[in-house]
Amino acid sequence: MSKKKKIGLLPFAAGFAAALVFGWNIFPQILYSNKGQPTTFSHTGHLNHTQKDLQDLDCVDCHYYRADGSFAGTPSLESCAECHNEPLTGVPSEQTFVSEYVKKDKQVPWNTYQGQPDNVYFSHIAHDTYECTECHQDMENADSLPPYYENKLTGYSRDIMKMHECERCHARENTSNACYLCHK
Amino acid sequence: MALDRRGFLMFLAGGAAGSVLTPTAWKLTDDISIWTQNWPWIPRIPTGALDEKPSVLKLGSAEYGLKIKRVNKQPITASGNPNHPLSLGGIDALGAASVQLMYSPSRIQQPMIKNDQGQFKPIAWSKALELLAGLLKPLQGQTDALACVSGDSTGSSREVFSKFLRAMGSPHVYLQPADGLAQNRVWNDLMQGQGRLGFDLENSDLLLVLEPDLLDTWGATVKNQKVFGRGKTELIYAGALQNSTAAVARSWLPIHPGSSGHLALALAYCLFKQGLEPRPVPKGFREYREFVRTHYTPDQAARKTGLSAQAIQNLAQKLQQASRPLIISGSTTGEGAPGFPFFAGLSLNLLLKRINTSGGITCLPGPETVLDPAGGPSIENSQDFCGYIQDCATGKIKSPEILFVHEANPAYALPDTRKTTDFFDTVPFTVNFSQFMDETAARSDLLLPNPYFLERLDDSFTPFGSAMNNYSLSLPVTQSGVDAKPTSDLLIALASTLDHDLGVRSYAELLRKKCRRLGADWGRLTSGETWTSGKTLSQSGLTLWNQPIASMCRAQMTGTPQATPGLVLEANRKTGSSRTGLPPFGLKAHLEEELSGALAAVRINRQTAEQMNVRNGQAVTLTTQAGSIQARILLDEGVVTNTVAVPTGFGHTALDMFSQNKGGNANSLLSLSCEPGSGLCSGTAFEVQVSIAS
Amino acid sequence: MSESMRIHHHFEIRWGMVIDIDKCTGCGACVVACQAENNIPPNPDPFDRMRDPHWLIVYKLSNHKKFPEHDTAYLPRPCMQCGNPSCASVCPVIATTKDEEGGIVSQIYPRCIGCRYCMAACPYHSRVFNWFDPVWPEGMDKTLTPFVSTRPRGVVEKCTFCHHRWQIAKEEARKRGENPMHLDEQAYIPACAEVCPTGAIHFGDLHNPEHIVHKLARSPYAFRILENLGTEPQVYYLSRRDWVRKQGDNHFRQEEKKNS
Repeated sequence: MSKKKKIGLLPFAAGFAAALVFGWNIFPQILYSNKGQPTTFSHTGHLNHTQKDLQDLDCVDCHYYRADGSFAGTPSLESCAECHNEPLTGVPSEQTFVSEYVKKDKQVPWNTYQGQPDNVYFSHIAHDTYECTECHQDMENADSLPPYYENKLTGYSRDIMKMHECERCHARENTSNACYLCHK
Repeated sequence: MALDRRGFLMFLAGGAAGSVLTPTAWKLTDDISIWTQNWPWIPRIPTGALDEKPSVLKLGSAEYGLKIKRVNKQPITASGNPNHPLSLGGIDALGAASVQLMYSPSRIQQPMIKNDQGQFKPIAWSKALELLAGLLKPLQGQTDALACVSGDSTGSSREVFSKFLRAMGSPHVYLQPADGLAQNRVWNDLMQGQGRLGFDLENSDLLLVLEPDLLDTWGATVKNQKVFGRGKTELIYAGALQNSTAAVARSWLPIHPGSSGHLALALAYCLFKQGLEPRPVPKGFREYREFVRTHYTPDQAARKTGLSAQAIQNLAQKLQQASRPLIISGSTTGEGAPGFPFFAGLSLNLLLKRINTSGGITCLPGPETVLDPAGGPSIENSQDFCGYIQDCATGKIKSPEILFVHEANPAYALPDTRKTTDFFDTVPFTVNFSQFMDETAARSDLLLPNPYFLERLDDSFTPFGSAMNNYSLSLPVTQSGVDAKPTSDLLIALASTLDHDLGVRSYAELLRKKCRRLGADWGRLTSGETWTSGKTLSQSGLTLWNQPIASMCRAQMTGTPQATPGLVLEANRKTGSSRTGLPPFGLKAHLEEELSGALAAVRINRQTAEQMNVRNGQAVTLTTQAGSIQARILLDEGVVTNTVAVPTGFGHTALDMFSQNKGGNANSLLSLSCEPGSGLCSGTAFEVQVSIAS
Repeated sequence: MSESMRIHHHFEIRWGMVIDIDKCTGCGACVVACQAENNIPPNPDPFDRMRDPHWLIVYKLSNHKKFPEHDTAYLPRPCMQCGNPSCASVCPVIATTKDEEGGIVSQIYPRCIGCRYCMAACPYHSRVFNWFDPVWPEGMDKTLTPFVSTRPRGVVEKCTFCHHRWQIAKEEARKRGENPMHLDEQAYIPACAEVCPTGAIHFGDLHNPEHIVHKLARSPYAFRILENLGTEPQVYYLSRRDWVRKQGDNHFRQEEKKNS
């Protein structure tokens, strides 16, 4: 009798374990595809230039508020071309960037990690009192870009901030959670 | 160890229990719901930097400054430019729809030539120019071999066309008929006035509008609306139809269609009765007064206008009491009328001393010409295209071998569609610079598309109606999405192939020279500013009566008006201009009752309907001696009895699905007739038959 | 309407519109600007108002007198952004509410299930249902604005007083270091009011005495449509013509006597 019981629990445990493995490990691999970015980019390389004659940049040189208060997000080709009109360094990826995008006047189709969908309106400047890293990954010391995972079903980025996260913070901060605060 | 049934079920149970501790189910449910909100065929909206660029609307309607909003340099919406004197931040329905019109499915994508089967085939620009040069070469020096019609009366492109045709030996450059053109001709040729007419609505305290739709289609429409909106000017409207202007005017005076000239002279009669004596006395004043006294006694005036003698008397009194009255006359569509109503209105302004005075009529110096500083024949005062067609039809002028069509759609928009299309059929080779595959383009042989006004550099010198001379640039705000080339540059290049020097190497150079000649600042013009000048021309020798005026006025005295149902045309900017089709984004601005199915509504009042024995909503055929259209009856007490109000802008057979299969072309109901004295040719329809459609 | 049915929120700001009917020429510029601004797709056959999406339409009014005593006027009709929105109380999924500062009735498209109770409830016909997926002719979709998301088939939409323009104005104010809740009168104007060539459409905060709408809404010539229903619209109309004001409300015969 006791032997029979033991055998009976084993399949349950196996099923339990398989579901956990599937749910936490395999399912995300199926759901998300790693799209990466169209070109490489080193934040550290731009923030602390190894070459002496090049000017060190600050985060806000590229990630700035426009005159109308909207947030520029990833820089446009024009901002990149301000410095990279011609290759500045011997880095091969820079040369590819100049020949593929700058010379062809083609905007870099950056994938935005936390780009909100069409129906959401997010104002960066309204959240200006918070540190960027409260929501965004700290890229200051990153030499390469993190992988970009796209949800195959929704097309959204894996790292997007979901509505419940917005609402939680708004509730905590005693800010309105009305629909029209964020939706358009 | 074999897996039995019980073991399998345990495995499933374990799996189910495990799943609860993973995000799979919740995540899938959430994602599926998001998936259903983002179907791939629903267009996504852009993100990016917003900016605004100035330009000037050039679509054959009122021209004024625009602000084009762009996202990532892609134009998205248009609004009025507050710094432009003719917009002041306002916009009309066509201007508001102009960005989207650029992407009309009827845009001509590249140069095309018609083959023997009558189909258009793409052709390379170089080949097309070579072909055209080859056709033009043998025609050089022949006076009647080449002709041009343009719908752009304010741009410097007409200088290029003028100079090009003159180099070819042809004087036949014509503009599409318009109120501005006709009014200036009456002023210059008949009344011996100097300069071009401007209207200082802003400083007037009483505006008497005799028929034109001042607030929707006439003159500097948007500026007119702005002036009205300030509420400092009293507005009185006289016309056969309660149109946009009448809907907001202090009062509507219903008169017979086309009788505004009679009303103006009837008012002159009353003013004379009250002892008005103009100082200095204009030439021919006594003969004019004599004519008015004989033909506009209260009884006659009432019969001619349909307004009671008392109402006319009251109106005259109002005019005399006003300190700065201004009389505006014109056609209901703004697209040209006989000279008589213009003369009558202008004579009234003259009698009331409203010339070159605040709140009156301003006489503006004509445009500075660059290519022909000596002056040369001014296009503006020559005949319009209707007259040319009439002359070709009667054999007075030989029909052209080659016809250039620039920024115009005469095959649709000219009165007497049958006669106009007959004319186009007689022209062996028509070159069309249109952006859209309109009725005229479809009848043309070579299509050399000009970029849309938001894609090219162009200019605008004092659109008709403006009180002051002004000059602004229509600036490109985007690159052309089709393979188009600016027509003016094309002509300059074509001229040099034919060994003619037009005097400039590019259109931009011409505009810069014009800017310098005006004393304007190019940098400020390119940033969207406007050059203005308050200069007016003093008048001497103004004439109220001479031989041509006499024959023009006497011709009006024959015939009995209103024997059969009259016709009044109505134009609206939401239906586009004579050059465009119905703008895709203008359609929703129409009232539900204005179009149903493929029929547009024609309006009559209840009494007329009873006389005609038709009911509301009934499909009918309108017939005149020129042609017929199908329409639907809409009862509207805002129409004078015994009159049918017909909307223009419908009945397109070419262009896109937004324009096609909607109503009939009102122009096809008009007969082309030329007025004695003034020589102005325009469309008229005095008799319209309404029959129930079978 | 009983007191208990009122769902009054108190808002610091109450965005409102005052439309001067005596200045409206029915030119349609507002309708076109609204359509372009809010990504409402063009339609070759937009005359079936039951099927065609539109946020702002212009009605033609008539005094119903015979020629020549006839008079006509035009009435542009946006969403009334009612103080007591009958649409919001019937929505089973809270896709439409009036809970945000400013008092604009919200409409969240992804949340809407398309039951159309709100359309039945709205006495102003301000709401439209998307019977079809939106289609722009090829190339014309380039003119889509970043302001409003496109709506798929199966959801209800309506005028939002160009709510996004308020968001943009607030961002601009923050950038300039100003208080985003105390905007200049010109900082936030919906597209229709901005383009109106006669200035018939006034817009501003009905609570703010510095804004012209505050004064105009209190004019003896001001009225609201179907005021008797108690919906408390935030859109006011002005007309000096008695017959126009009279048409603002449907009176029962006994009410008419009482009011006169």
